[in-house]
Amino acid sequence: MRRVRPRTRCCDSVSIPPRSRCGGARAAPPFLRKRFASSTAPCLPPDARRCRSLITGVSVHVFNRRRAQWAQAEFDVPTVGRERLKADALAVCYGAGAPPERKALMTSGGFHFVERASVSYAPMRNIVGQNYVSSIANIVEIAVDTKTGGVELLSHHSILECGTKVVPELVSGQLQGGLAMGIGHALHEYLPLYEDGPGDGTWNWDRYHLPRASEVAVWNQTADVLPARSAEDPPKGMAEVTVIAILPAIANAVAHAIGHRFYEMPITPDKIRGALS
Amino acid sequence: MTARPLSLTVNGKQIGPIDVPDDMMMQDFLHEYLNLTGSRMGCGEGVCHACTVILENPDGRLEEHRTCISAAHFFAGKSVKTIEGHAERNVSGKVVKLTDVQQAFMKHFAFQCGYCTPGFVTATTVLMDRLQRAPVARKDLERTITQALDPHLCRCTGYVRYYEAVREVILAAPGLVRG
Repeated sequence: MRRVRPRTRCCDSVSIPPRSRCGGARAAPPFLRKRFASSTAPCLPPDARRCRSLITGVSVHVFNRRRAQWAQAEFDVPTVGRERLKADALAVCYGAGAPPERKALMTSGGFHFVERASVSYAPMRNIVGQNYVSSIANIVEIAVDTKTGGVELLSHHSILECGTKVVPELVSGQLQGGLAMGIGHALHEYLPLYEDGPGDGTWNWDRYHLPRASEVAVWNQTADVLPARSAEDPPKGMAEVTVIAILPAIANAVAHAIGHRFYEMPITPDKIRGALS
Repeated sequence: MTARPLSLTVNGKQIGPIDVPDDMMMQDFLHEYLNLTGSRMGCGEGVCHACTVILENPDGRLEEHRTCISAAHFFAGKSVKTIEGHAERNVSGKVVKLTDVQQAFMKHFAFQCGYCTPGFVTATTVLMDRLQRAPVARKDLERTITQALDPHLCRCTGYVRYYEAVREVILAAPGLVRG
């Protein structure tokens, strides 16, 4: 039995096309990929393709404002002609068989940056409630040992809004994993700057404490993942949003427990003992 | 550095005698001599437990051992099961059936990057063997699982889906839990 599994902790529910430069933007619309597919002759073996003079690589920038409001631009694409695309920047590269004057155009990191002939962006509107950003809130229950300064995480609860869930199991895994990272940041994990920090190359887990299961309230954590508002509610990027809210939740809980507010993480036992002494 | 002949049983197969340096760790022996790379090199100092394997005692009792801080010669004459020895394989060595533990981890999406997974499979298998001999009360099950698996570090998952999978597979196996 074989399954493809995610290789990293990031599992945004949108896919970013290779080579696109789209920080915060969305994947290239499918029609764009399909249209260029016809000019890249994907059925040819690589060697044969290299010999051809056609486009062998495409890099685009896409921009989305509100749902499906893609920026659009026109490009005069060599070997293809004038194209109106849901992309606002385009670069292509050509096969080894392309004429020298066309290859001479490939001056931007090996790509030919194709000037756009026109561009249009969707107008700014009130976009409240129309974003692709997941949100989370956390409530935590802790016990502070005033003698040792240790903080025990007793339980926590998350309220997460991530639009339509593409793979619910991964949403839940991403939620729990992010919480553990946030808990580590809040209470345990410390990477000091400069020569004595982990940059000296000798650090390992004897001096960098990663939370263990017993330290993340593994059996005592609950979550409400809010249902999508409608069938059209888009999947929203999860990434590691779940790392964030648990930090102020824990810092607030410590402040409520001992009457002292900390502004630097991690909140370690010696800092708490210092505040209480 | 001296080398001595080492013989042991790995995944039911008699290995050796092979000349192995005295100070070689079991992890390196498994990886470099036997090409069994499934037990993971994490910290190399016994903290993360990604490198654990099962030591099969003569009485059948299973024990978990960290291979990054145990010399290969510690296992001389002993029987070891690595992560490669858990699933059932056919004659050509292809995996044909996962163990219940492995299957539960798959079903629960228990792991993400998978680096710590061999250690969690090992720890859970050893825990189930222990519960087979000495079942725990249902009310103590979660605590028992936490105690057994707590040494195993995971950066990705937050542990919840692992632990839920372990609880399910223990409850589904007959005779591990009382009441």
